[in-house]
Amino acid sequence: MTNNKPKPDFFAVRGSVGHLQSTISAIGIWAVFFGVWVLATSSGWVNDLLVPSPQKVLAATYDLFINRGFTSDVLISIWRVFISFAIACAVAIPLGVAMGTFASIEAIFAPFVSAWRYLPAPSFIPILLMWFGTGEAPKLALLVIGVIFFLITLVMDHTKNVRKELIETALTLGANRYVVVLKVVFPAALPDIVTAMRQMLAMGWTYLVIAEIVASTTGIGAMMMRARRFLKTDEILAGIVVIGILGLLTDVMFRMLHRRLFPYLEVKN
Amino acid sequence: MSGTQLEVRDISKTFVLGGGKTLQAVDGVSFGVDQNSICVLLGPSGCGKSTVLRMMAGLETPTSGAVVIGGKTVTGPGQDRGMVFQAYTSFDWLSVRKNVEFGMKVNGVDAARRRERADHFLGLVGLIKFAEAYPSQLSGGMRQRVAIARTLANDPEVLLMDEPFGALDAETRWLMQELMIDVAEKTNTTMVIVTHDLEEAIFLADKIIFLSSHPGRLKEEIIPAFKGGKRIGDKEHIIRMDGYSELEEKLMRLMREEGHRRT
Repeated sequence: MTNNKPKPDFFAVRGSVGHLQSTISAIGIWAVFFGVWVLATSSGWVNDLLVPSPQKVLAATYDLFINRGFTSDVLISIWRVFISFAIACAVAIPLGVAMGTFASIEAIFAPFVSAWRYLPAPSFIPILLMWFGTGEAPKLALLVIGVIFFLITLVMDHTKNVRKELIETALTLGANRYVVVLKVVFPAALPDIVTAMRQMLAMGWTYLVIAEIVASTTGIGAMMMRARRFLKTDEILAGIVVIGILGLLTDVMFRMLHRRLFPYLEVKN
Repeated sequence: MSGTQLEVRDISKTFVLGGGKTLQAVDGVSFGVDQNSICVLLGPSGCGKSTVLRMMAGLETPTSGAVVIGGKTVTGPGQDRGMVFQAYTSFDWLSVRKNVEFGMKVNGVDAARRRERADHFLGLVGLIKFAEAYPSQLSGGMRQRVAIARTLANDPEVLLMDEPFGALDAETRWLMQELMIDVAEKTNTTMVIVTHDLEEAIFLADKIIFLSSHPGRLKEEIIPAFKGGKRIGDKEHIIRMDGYSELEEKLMRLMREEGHRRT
């Protein structure tokens, strides 16, 4: 009897991976990561004060949430990201769509927007602190500055990628330019715009932590800076873990939203 | 068939390219399209036939000359001249039925009538079963049928088609050509169809406008007289008719002359 089943080839170029293999692979890489971490801390290779064990980080996370009111820090961080991201989107999406549709609008804003994109947002922190003091405003402003210019450019590019034939079809069906923009260009670009939002939200989290570390007494970043003062490395790492999990959750949420909003992208014959 | 519905009057188009260069795509083309007739614009690639069609649609402005429909000069795109493109133009975020209703909705047709007309034209192109589907679930030929139904449902005076079946496989193209004859007979729609496919031209045309290339000029107006003023809805039948192969030879010769002239 001959075996006709193709031999599985781990290094098949552009090959496919089954469900079981992908699950094992995903769990495996994390198992290795935590394995090395546990081994390093339990065997005394590393200074326990600088690199606490995963168990200690987990215990610190629990302690922070249950006994130390960390929940309010997390909530305020989420609120900052949400508000500033909403402001950025409220400006960037209409402006980006307008720039991608009307060459005249692009001619006005594109030179301005591209220049701002090359300025690192954290370079504004000193001046933002002088303008707005230490309240919520400078943090929100930093997040908005960090995200908005990239988002405008991405939305503009995605709008420009809407095929000319779709626009011309709408025109020959009798649509005026407002209908073309609102009922054809925008819905056609929307899936890509939502993807751009997902990518930029990750950047929003980055600037949040910078803002909270530099100039805040509340939020996840501020907790981590407090912990540094008391050499609480387990709490610093707990903060990193929480930020990572929040980032992952928002990403999953955006993916679900994408699937919900655009069912027509899922279907294939 | 009665009366001229659409007139192309001495239109020329010169495109301005980068670096101050210009390219004349169309030079002084004139022809008329009779009401309820099928007019085919034929010619080698680069003869400007698509440019002529786009000027008829109002998507390009002639450098000189005019396109006149029902006594009025075309100044831009409008509901009276529906267009079907070679590339897929389905609005992917709308169901097939909503796609077909799009033009009517834009033009203020009420919901009940929209639905009724959409279903009528989906029936005409054989897609009523797929009314609730998304375009991404359909094959290429089916998507083109949605585009045709969408344009017809919008009640245009003229249906303009720019190589509508160019991206389809041979078998589907054949079926689509037969469908167009059927649609023309049932709806009395005036059609202008751009193609470079000789068979398609002979099969569909009541009149063929042959354009020469670089720049596009009117070379010859040809009436496929062998059809005896009737439309033949069956491709197998038409290729066996007397006069078919003579016309095909003639068109081939015209194509070839243009090819030689270019090289």
